[in-house]
Amino acid sequence: MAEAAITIAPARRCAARLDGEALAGWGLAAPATALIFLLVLGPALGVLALSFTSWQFGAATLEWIGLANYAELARDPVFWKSLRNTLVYIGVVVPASVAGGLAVAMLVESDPSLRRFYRAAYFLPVASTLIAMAVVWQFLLHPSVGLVNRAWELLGGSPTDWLKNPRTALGTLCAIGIWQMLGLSMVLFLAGLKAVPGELYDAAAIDGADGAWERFRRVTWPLLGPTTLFVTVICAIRSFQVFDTVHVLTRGGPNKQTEVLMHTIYAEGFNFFRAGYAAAITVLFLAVLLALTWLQMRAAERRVHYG
Amino acid sequence: MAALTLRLLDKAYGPVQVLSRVSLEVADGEFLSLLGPSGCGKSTLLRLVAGLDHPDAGAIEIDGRDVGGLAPKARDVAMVFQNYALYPHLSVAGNLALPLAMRRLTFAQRLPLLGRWLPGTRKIATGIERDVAETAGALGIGPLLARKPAQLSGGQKQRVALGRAMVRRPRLFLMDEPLSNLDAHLRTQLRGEICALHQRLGATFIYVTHDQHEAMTMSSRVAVMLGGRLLQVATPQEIYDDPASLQVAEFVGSPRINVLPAEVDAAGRVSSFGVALQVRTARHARRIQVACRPESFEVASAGDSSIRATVERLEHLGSEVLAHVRAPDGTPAVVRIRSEAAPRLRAGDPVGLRPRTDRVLAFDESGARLTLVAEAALRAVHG
Repeated sequence: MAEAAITIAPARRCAARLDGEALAGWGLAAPATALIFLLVLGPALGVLALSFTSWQFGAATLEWIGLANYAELARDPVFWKSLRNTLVYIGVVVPASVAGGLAVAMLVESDPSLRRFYRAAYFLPVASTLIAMAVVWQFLLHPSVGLVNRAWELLGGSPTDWLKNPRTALGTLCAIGIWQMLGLSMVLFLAGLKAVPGELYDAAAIDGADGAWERFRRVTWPLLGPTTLFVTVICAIRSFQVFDTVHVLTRGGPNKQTEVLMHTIYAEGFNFFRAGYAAAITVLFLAVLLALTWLQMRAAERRVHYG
Repeated sequence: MAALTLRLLDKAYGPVQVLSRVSLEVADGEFLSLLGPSGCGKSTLLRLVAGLDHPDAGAIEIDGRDVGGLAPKARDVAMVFQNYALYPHLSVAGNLALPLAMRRLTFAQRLPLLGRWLPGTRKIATGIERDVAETAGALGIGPLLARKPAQLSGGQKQRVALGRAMVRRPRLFLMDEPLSNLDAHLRTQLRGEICALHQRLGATFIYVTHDQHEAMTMSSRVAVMLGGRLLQVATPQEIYDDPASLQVAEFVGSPRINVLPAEVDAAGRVSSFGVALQVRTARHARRIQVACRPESFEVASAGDSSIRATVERLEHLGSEVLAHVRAPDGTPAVVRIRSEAAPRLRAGDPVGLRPRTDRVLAFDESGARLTLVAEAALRAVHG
């Protein structure tokens, strides 16, 4: 009996202290938890609920219609066109930004002269407001006085209205997207290159892998593997969210040629006030983003892949 | 097998002169250590020999052929790095195979996927696999071939690095502090393995280290480097017994050699603290320094014609005792005494020290070595 009493007493004290600690812990985490629910999870659940209703933006009543919004989505050619355009945009912008960013990072890293200038110049589009930059692009792409057409003419091309021509509109937006994403990709690759130990290049040179191609293939590329995965996912997420250039430059036109998911959501919700329908697109949009984010977290884990 | 000749190498990084006028001859099959403190230029010298860097002036010859303009791969040298420098994305087998693949396969045959189907690739690849297995077996890393470097211990990594160096049987091995990242026990073990490897391969080894024990125990000759200059190149015994300068004498030997002030009278007789050392030098009537290894003192009771010192501290090391003493002017010294021969010394005791006539060394104020002649020898010559 005496022994039992001795063993129990400290345990009880321990439990009491844990209670206090747990309380303090919850207390400290409460503001952040509340904000996450209020600003992230709450609205997301709200959107999910809204997607099952026929609510019109500003209307006083709403009706529960189940999966009707999703069924309409599946039949809506605009939605499919928008999805296709978004995928084309990602398919063009992501590989080009990743490959271009890597190439620029390696060029910047190879020669110390003007390194700061090039780094800043390539990063500028990332740091600046894209809306303002889009206006500048509008001037550059102006059908009659724009610099792009003048240059195109010098090269022997016939001038065109890049943003209004259905054949060139999406490609032009892709080019602007690459211009904007390249800097981000370059900065991430620069950090990755810094982490490649110089001794490995020495070892490769002694082993006989000393040409530019062999150095890249045997050392740089494999050691940048985790960085490349990370950059790809980040660029994919940002490309998936493309909106500002489309909204300022084309508004999805001509003839829905540049309609992208984010712009469709905006148009359905705030131009046509079909909030329930827009919410359904948003839910699909969030699901894809969630998948990409999960991939990104896996990529972050993969950074320690080689030990 | 290769002999190496360095002629008057100079190398500067910006305003810092890292190597000045370094000349060195390494014989075929020799094991030469470059010994010096960190920052003395020994790693730079190794990089120049490997071809990873280029000298500002001077020539590097391997077997009498100037290799100055050659890329590392054309010099037929192998290098082992301090941090192993293994390819983290390749397995142990991949690490060992890479130097062979780069040499034996053509560019087209090395292409991923496509290369495998080119004529001859299969046969060469089999040969590479066989050589990799043989090298791995010799180093005892056969069971590790499928692992990635991150899954290996430090000692295993260094064995893989050695394997990558020896797999293509180079003429010249360059090792840049290969053991400095390992713990003491592994270091001793791998020290033995590297020596055995040298004997088996018969290749020329150049081994950079800041650890005098490594240099003294492993090599046939040691090159002592300080401040970008080669101070002395000689056998370990010569470096220890017959150092060319005070810098070398002070750098080699643990505990450090004892330096005492000394005078030379008009007849050339050397004395320290008024005690005649019974040696003479050609430089008359000036102040010099004498140096004496800890084991080169005769310990007597204080008084009769010996330097009076005071024991400050005793370190019992089992077979011997290190006595930390202070000379009359406060100069510290360390004396090594065999345990059984040690008188019952205690801290605070006075003790008489006599540097052994045949072991004492003399240096002028710039640290250059002075020749000493024992008075007994002079008497014998002059009758």
